[in-house]
Amino acid sequence: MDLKKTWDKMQMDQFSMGILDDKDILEAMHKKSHGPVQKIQTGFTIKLAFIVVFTFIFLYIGIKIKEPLVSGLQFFMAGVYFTAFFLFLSQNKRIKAGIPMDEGLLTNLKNYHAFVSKVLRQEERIALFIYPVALTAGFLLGFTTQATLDEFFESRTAIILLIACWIVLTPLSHLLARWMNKVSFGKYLNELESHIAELEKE
Amino acid sequence: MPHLQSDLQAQYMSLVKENAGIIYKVIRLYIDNTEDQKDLYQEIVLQAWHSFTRFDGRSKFSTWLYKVSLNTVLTFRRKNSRIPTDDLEKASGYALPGDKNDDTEMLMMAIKSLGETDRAIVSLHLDGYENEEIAEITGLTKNHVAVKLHRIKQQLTKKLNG
Repeated sequence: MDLKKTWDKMQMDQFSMGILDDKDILEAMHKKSHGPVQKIQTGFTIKLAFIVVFTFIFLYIGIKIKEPLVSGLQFFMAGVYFTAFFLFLSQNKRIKAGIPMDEGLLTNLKNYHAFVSKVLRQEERIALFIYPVALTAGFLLGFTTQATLDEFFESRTAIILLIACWIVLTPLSHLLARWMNKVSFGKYLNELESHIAELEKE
Repeated sequence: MPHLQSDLQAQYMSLVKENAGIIYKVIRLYIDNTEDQKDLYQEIVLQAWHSFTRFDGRSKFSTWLYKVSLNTVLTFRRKNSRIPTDDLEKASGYALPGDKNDDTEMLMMAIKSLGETDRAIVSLHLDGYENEEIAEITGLTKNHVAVKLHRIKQQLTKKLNG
């Protein structure tokens, strides 16, 4: 069989399947992408939205609470979220840029996968230091609805309970955050990973 | 500014229409499912549009579009549509060499049984692209393309001639 002749014949047989009209092209140009990259981008946008919402929640509680230490902790948390927002915003810019489809695919896929994974790991690690502060803020907020802050400092049980919360809930929160990232991004990162593996195999 | 955008859009649409065969071809080479083919077609048009501002005209639009189509299919396809060599004979519509079925169908099935990059290399070669252009599209070196092409042709001949 002459490959070239058969291929040319096939071109006419199979590749001339209908003519595209302007409406089809225009529709496709403005359609939402459904690939793993788009899903990752959507996931990060949702994360950003959560950061904004929580910043305002902490601010609101900080303003409402009269106790300076408890209020200060709420403002501190709002500050942490506010900083995280700008950090995330700059990272989100790169994530939103996606993978340029007109450049070397394998390198770009690898870089994108590595960057998204790095951002998620970074977020999990930084959060590890924030959980004890957040737990303290929440604990004191709850405690001061029933008693005063002086009573807290005088109560050995309350202090031990707070320390126990740190010890138990910090690793639990970390594991929960990792699980949530896995649920939100794991599938799509694995998809990219399998594409990388297939391209590397060849 | 809006008229610049609409000029760009019109230019893009006209180029895509002229080169639509490339998109169809890449999709047919990699995707069998009709629904997935439709989705991939739209994804390619979308991804190419997003990248269009970077197209500087240094290469032909067809070469550029081929690269975008190929990269999009390799990134966005849902599953590997490669037909295992052993299953070639069992594949629906596939005919053994010597049967009276269409040669084109046999060639398509044989190409689909190749690895992903190999499929692109051979189809580009059969379309008349130079090794340098194939290297640009696939991201391989010119020498690597030549070596691969030689091996692919041997594989195809073996498959098609039994």
